[in-house]
Amino acid sequence: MTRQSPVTSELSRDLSLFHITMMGLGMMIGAGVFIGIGITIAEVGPGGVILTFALNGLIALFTAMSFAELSSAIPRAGGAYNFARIAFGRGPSFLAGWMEWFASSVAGSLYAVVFATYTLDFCSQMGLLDWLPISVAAAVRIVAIATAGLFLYINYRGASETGKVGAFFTLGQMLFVLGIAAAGVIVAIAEPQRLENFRFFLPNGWGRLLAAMGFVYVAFEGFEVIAQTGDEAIDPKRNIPKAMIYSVAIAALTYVLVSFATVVAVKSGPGEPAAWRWIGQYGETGFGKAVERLLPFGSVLVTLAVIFSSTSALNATIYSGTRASYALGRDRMMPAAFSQISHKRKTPYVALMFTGLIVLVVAGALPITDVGSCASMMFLFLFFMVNLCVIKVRLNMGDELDYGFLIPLFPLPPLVAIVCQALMAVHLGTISYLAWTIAPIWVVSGVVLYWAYSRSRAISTADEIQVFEERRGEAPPAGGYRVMVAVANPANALELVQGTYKLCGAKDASVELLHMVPVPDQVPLSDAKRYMMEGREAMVETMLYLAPLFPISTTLRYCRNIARGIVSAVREKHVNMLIMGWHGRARRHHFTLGSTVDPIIERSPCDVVVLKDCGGNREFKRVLVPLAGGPNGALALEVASILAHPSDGEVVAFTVARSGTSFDVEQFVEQTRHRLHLPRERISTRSVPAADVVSAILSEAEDYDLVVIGSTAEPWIYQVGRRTVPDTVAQRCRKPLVMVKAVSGIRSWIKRWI
Amino acid sequence: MQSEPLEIIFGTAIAAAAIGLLIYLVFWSRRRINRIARNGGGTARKIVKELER
Repeated sequence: MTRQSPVTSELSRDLSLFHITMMGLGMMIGAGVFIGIGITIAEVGPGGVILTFALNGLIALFTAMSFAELSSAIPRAGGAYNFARIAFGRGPSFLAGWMEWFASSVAGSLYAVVFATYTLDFCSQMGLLDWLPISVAAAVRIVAIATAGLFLYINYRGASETGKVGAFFTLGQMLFVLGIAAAGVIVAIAEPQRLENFRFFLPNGWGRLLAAMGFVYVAFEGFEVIAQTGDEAIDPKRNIPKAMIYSVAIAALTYVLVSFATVVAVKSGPGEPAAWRWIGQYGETGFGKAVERLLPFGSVLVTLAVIFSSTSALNATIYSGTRASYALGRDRMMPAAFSQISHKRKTPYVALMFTGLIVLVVAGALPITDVGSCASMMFLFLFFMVNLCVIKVRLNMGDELDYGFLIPLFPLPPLVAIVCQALMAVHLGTISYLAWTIAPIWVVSGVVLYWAYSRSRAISTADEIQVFEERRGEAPPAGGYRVMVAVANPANALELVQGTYKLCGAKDASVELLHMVPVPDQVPLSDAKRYMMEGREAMVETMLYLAPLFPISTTLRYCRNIARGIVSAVREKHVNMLIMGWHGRARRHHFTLGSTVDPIIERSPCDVVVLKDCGGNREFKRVLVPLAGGPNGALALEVASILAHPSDGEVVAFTVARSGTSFDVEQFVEQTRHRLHLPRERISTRSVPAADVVSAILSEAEDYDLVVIGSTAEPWIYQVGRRTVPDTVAQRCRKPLVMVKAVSGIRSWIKRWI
Repeated sequence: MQSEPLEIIFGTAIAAAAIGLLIYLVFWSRRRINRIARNGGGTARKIVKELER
């Protein structure tokens, strides 16, 4: 018998930081800036063009940071589509893939048109087009379509430049563009009077700035392709985030310098229009015209640079668009035909064909300004979504993923990027109303397609939450109070029964029993049934006690992370209170209560009640409620009054008086009186002076049967480096303990819906 | 149509601030990426706690 050894294969990791940075730059330094500078100068003047690229660079850097954080944590090919699938699920991920497909294809059209425009303009100057029976504008369309067709064929053949070869082409482009920038700086130093060109700094006012920023945003598109090199990059967790950030920064600084050089390149003579007007009148070829006046053979050099950069970018965007539509087909979000691979060429020819269709139609039908605006608009939408993804993934899955980079001052940079991108998209409509027509039509058609076709056909992935079994009980009254009980196993179920019984009784609630099935990562979901037995037993155990008294429903679900699965169920079922158990210790040192309890307390958009050692037939005659005036104090008092023995239970509202604090516990009890389920005379207050709050509470707790304490109000990102008082008390208290967290108005509403 | 000197000063200051912040963030991010890599990466919670030490 032969022994089979497992054989695995993987791509060799030989792309260094330099190579992948150059890949990003190769997509950016090119057509966008060549056509963008002339049009932008016409829109916002000489100072405006510098401001446009500087501010755009900053906003693009914030978005690059979002990509960097997500790529470091989710190092899989797929880019925005993949991030959206993990952050928001199938629908938004379909939309991200759908937009990425269109954005890349339209960017491809733009590069084809830019190539044709500059090449024919050069030939026209040389007198090589005098024989043409058609106008130059018509010839531009034909050449653009022919060029795009050629690169579609090249993509079909499967030929593409490798990262290493591409890096050297990009380096050449970079050196050329930096050469122009250097020439501009030298000329400005030699002839300072050229700086007079900035005299008309913002001739059309500040109002046009956002529109111009929106228009040239496509020039910062490209760094996202770096995310695709996860399987080939050396030390990807370190190098991919660095490459994204470096490439955006280098591109932004280069654009600013080149814009400066373009403005000072033109020396207006007497009777001539101002420099910015002169450049602006040429529109998309304004940059080339200015460089002609700056460098000998400037026109030839610019044409060569455009040929190199636009063809390289055209190839990459067709490849990128094809890959986006292929991924949609592979996951059955689009017809399976999109994932068909040519037997002969090993390329996804159907996806390529439809991508080609978009590239050719847009390149042949729309004016260049509208093509550029349309591409920018789609990338603005796409980056908008990625910035949302980074917030959602950090908040929802920050405890599961292995990060190589974290955005500073989170979530400020992605929020700033979202607001700025939204403003730019709105203002872009003033440059091209067509972009504001086509882009939303594409997005809406995507939404319709998803609901009509993709939603029911999409293949589920292991990252998603699966509902294995759902049994609806007696329907709860509309608007009635709903309590969810998260049961882990039969023993834990019995621990929770008594508390649940009392809380549901006091609230006249219906009950949702939830069990998250813990299927190990290496076990396929098809074998999950083997792991459901314990959960079923726990459900039956709990139902024995609660079903005769309350309307009850049960759900067995699976999720790779139990905390995320529970929070998701809370959101979906709109429960008012979540009850769960806690074993009383944190196994991992960077959690305070535990890797499951901490995220649930932080993220659940409802009241949370965590019970520790509250099982059996315990009677709580003396209940201690430590208070300090926090937002969870009222709920702690209410829960204490419910759990206390109904006939002779007593609740003591306890506070530690310290110098500099002015919390009036008596007044607090009076204010929350309407929520209490015990007569006022059985609720007393006690204030003890002490320097050490934790020791004072623990010492006081020795005389009580139960401690009910509100959790800290601070999110975990602000609890760094220290344990809070409630967490320390919960860890060290030897008595039965209940920790509560109250739903918090607008923050909970945001958590539930966003 | 000629711009006010104030507008030129204000516009130049904004552009300079944006470029300055961009360069600062690049170096800051580089330092952070290296530090996270030295500590072996980890969950967001773990990294934030380690970076604060």
